[in-house]
Amino acid sequence: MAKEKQNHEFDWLSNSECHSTLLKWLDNGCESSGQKYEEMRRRLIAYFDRKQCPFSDDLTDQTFARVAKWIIGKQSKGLPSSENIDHQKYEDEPVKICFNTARFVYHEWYRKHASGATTIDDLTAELHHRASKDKEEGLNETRMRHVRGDCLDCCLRDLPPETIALIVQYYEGQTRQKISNRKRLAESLMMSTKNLSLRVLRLRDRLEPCVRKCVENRLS
Amino acid sequence: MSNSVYNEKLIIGYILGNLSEAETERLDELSIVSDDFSHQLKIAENDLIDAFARGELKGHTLDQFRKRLMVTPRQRERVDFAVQLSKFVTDNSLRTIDSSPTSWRKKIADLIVPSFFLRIVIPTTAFVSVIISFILFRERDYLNDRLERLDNEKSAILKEKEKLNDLLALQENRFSEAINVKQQLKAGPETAYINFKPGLSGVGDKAVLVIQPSVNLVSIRLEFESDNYPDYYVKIYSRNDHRQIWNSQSLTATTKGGSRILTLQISASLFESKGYILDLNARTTEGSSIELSSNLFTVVKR
Repeated sequence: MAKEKQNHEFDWLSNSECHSTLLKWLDNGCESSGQKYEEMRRRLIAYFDRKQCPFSDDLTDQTFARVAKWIIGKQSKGLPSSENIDHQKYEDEPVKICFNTARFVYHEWYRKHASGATTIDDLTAELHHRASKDKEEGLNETRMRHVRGDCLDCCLRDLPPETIALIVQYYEGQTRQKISNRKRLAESLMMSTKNLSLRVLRLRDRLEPCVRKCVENRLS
Repeated sequence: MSNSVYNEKLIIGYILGNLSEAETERLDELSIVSDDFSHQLKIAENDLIDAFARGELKGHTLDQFRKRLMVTPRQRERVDFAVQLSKFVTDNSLRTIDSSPTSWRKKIADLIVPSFFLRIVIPTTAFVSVIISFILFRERDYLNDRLERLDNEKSAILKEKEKLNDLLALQENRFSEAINVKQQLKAGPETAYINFKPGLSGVGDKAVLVIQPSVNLVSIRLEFESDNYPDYYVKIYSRNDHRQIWNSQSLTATTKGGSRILTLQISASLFESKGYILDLNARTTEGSSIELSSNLFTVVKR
């Protein structure tokens, strides 16, 4: 039953019409070329990670699927809306609707996880996850470090030298020295420390997925 | 959202699961709906993960980190990424910058390092270069002086060598002469003899001394009758011009019967084919000189 429900929700999201409807709704009248969607996806994944859900990507997709289903249902009036969300309360705030849905998805997962109500699909996914984890851990740690280091180098190679220099200077030092480094760096770039942190955060947000993808390709 | 609603300490507490359920719920919502909080949260998480990657976390914070931020695969990936990033930053920091000319890291270094070079490295290098130049100049002067001294010593040694060579040549000549003399002595000199007996003194030219070409020594035996004197002297003159060609040192006569005998050894080369006069004198104990005899003889050289 759970499997059918989950697959049904993913089908909603894989439908390109539903997907573009979701993007448009998240943009809330302001074209962002999918950036709002990507940002919301990142936040939802981080949210599920903080809740220690092992499949944060899947739960995020599940959240988006439910939101998309609700939007389309609301637009057509013919389709059922998600029975678990009091959307009337958040109609004008897509981000709040996303959060509320994610909270529900999490509680569902938590109840299932805590009660031990694990389906065959969940078990298969868990086994698959453990197999890939074991495979990774079984690899020589030195080789893994080498692969990760190579991948980081590859990803950094795509960045301009001044950007790499910025990363080095931002992360250089420890505790107080690091803080004073960042202050000096921000002053030299004539920006606030906060803006500097945001700028480096965005760079890191580009680097992390790049390295992850590279490592996956090398190991596959 | 203002900082009065959340601060770094609160965010760290939220990440590590140290807040109440209500507070956690509130920040859960903020993490989705607030751009500012979402960014601050991500920055704080990254800093925490970086601190773990560098081994800076201790005690309760470390335990909570392991429980909360190393559970899911994605969290572990973030830690792995932080470890690599930390290594990269350490490898490319000013302290350990890679100077490989072909490395793209060099490009980063070129961007970071100029001010460092301008302020510290270049002045330091210049100072060290001046010191090294000074030391090298001193060393060069010292070596030049030493070279000059060695040249002088070499010249002195060469001069000494020349002197020693000359001395060696002289010694070799003397050695050769000594060998010749020794050979001659070993062979024995060829001698011509003449004997003057008493009563012949002043009598004509009867005494003849024949000197053959091989003769190199003339032995003259003087036999005479006189009182015993302590010293005797002999002088030989050329008869035609009275030029003295030879004179003896103090001689001591031997006694044979009533006669006194003197034996003289004179080089044959002193004589030519002509007449000579041999005068014999004695010195008395009082120191006066007495003429004892004058003998004529003729030399014939073959």
